[in-house]
Amino acid sequence: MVLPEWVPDGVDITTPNAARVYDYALGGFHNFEVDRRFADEAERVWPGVLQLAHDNRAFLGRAVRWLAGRGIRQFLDIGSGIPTLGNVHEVVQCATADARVVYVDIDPVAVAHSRRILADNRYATAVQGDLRQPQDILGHLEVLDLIDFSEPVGVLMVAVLHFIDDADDPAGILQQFADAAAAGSHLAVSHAVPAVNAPAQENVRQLYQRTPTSLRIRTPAQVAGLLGGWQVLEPGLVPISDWHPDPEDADEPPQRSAVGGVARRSATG
Amino acid sequence: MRLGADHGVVAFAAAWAQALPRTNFVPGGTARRTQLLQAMTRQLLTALTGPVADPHAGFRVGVDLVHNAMSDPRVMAASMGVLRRRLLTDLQLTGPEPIARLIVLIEQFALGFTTTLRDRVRDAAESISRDEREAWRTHQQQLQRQVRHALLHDPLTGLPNRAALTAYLDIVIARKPSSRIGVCLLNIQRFSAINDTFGTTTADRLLQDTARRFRAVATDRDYYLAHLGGDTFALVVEDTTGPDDAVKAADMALRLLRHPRRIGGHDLSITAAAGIVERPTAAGSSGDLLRTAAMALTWTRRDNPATSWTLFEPAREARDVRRHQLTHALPDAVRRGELTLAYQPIIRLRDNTIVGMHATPRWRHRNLGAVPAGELLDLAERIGILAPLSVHLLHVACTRAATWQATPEPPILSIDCTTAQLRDTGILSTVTAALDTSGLPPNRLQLAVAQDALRDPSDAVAFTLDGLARNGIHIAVNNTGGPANLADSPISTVLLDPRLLNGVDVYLPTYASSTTTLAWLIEMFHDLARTVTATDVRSRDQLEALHDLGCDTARGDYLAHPMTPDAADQLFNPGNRPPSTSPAV
Repeated sequence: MVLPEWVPDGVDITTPNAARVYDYALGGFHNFEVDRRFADEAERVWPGVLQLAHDNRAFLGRAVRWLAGRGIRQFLDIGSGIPTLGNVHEVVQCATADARVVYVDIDPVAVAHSRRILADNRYATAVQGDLRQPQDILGHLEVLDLIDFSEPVGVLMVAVLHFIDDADDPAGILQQFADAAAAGSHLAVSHAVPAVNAPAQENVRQLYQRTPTSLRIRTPAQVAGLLGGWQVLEPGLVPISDWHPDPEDADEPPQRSAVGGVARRSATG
Repeated sequence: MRLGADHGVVAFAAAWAQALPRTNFVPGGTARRTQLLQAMTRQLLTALTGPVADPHAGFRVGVDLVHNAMSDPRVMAASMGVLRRRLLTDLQLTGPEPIARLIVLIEQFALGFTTTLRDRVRDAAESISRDEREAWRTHQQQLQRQVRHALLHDPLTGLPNRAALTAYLDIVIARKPSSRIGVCLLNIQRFSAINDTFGTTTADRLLQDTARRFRAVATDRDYYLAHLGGDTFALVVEDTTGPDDAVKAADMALRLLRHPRRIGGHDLSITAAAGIVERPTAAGSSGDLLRTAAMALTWTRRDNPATSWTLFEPAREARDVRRHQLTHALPDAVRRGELTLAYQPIIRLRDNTIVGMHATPRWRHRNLGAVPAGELLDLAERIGILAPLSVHLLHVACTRAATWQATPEPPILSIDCTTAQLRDTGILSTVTAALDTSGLPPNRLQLAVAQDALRDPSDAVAFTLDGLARNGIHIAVNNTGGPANLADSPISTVLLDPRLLNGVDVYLPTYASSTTTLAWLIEMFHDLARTVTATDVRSRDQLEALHDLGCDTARGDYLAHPMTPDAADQLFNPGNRPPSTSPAV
């Protein structure tokens, strides 16, 4: 068959991509020059912003361990990025060998890399998906292969909701996940909130405007407002460094530019 | 291990952790980092104090740091600094031996760290480039699927389009060569009027609604449904046992449309026409199936406004194809002079004299051969050029006939005239103009009209016939059925139906009855004071019978074949070559 002459836009290494920027910020090597330049520029206009990536990853690790401790055996990690450092499946399969993990990301390179890492892992895979199309994720055949939605599932949305525009109805999206998840399911979420250094944060927000995933800062109250079908558990939506911190990290500087928390599917939801 | 040494390990690991940059994310946080660094410090302690030197321990620590995500180049610089400055002190080791071992350990540490970092970066670079290619390939496959879907489906209804239908039929034809198949084309009638009246949006929704209704039947009955764009859909019925199965499918689909629907505030009622083909699967290609179904659909729309479907018939197709070819060729044929007139002598039986020439148009199509005059005139009428063509032929014939000289009487020119032409109020002046221009006297022209001219309910035809006759022009009528309407008409001659001559053969048992009928008719027309001309005389028996029964004149291949204009000219101007200015036809 004859392919159209236009160039497809799926893999664009000329614009920075959030997944690859995160990878670079975490010290990974799965990124392109454009991603590194973006991250360096972000760090220049808001010194310390790359630490946010570390803190989000650390929050993800603690939340996953906490959920595994609560008996969650299957995880849907949306906006997983490039899971080379602190993989969810390594954390949970360490405790339970047959725990299931499905990574979902919009970036095809991240997905391709994840799939290769997971090629030999029967209980984990990665699929390409867009959080704005929840039914495509929930109905994805490979997702359904591993995730049994009649059993509790841990839905992870760490540092991804702030890429969803209000026009795309993030509350509705979360409600659809609540509707699909069985009782006992949990949602771990983190989200960028107004920073003390507001002008610097605004600079970074404007940098993101140049990427396919522009950034929305929401207040903690606004974030809480998105979680209609989910009941936030103690200690609530708090700065991510304050959420069940490891005692050993007590000396680490607090991270107040993002809030995070874990919520349970409401009994009525 | 000494208790004091473990205390030293903890103290050194804490200092080490303190010295490291935080650019790398270490899963598990401070706790895990501390744990890792303490383990490495213990390995170094063993290497420094063990019975034999273990320089490779330094290498392993370098490797472990990179593997545990502490891979920033500054990690190496900071580690080498802290190892050199504090390790021996914190572990309370003194003397030349530990110093010598430490130097080698640090060398090996640098080697292990850099080797592993190099390998890791190289692997990552290779892997991301593979990932990129993989992602690209996946994306291309998705695009191909999308493009294929777009290429094979109608964007409005999402149904398979013509390309998909063709591919599907090809597969069925290949897989089921010994079964039968039916294809129904369904066309919404007056769709463009709906489009014009209610707008594109409403029309589009109408199509979507139609698609939904058809889909219900198709799903229910396992038919294949396609949308060929615009207002046309197709249903494929596999494993039919005969035309009935396909007709039933079409009928069911057509009936579904009858319930009105409310779209955009309008109650829309629509009907559809169907063209159906049903035949053995192996009888032809997918293209044939669609073409023949489309032809049947054309028949429905053109010929059967009352019924809603037509079944394809091969014989009708052949006629259609021929007519299409001729229709397209005719205008050009006139221009290129492919049309000629042939002249057949009319013989007076009493004295065997040529008293007239009957002119008929001739068209020899380059592929289809000679086209009968009747079919030619039919076509000309259908495409609207009969009137000008007839006028042209009349002029040509009159001009030629005017040059014919013969003794004792010059021949009359006989030429066919359709009833449609007679209805044209301008015919009288057209004919007289042709006579005037050519100089042919009116009494040398005979117009042969069809029988129905005498029964035409409009007064116009009768009026025209009267006018022609008053001008001295002879009127002959073909095959009149009876005398009643002949008596009052200006008809001077009756042309006998050639079929009356069929039984006139002395070797046939019909000879007696046929001649009796002929005798009776000729006598009756003579009683009405009409001349009788036999047409299409093909045998000696026929000629002799007509002669004996008193028929006045006759023409036919037994007497003389139609001849070319030149041959006719030779007949009446013997010795003279036709003048170069003579008409081309």
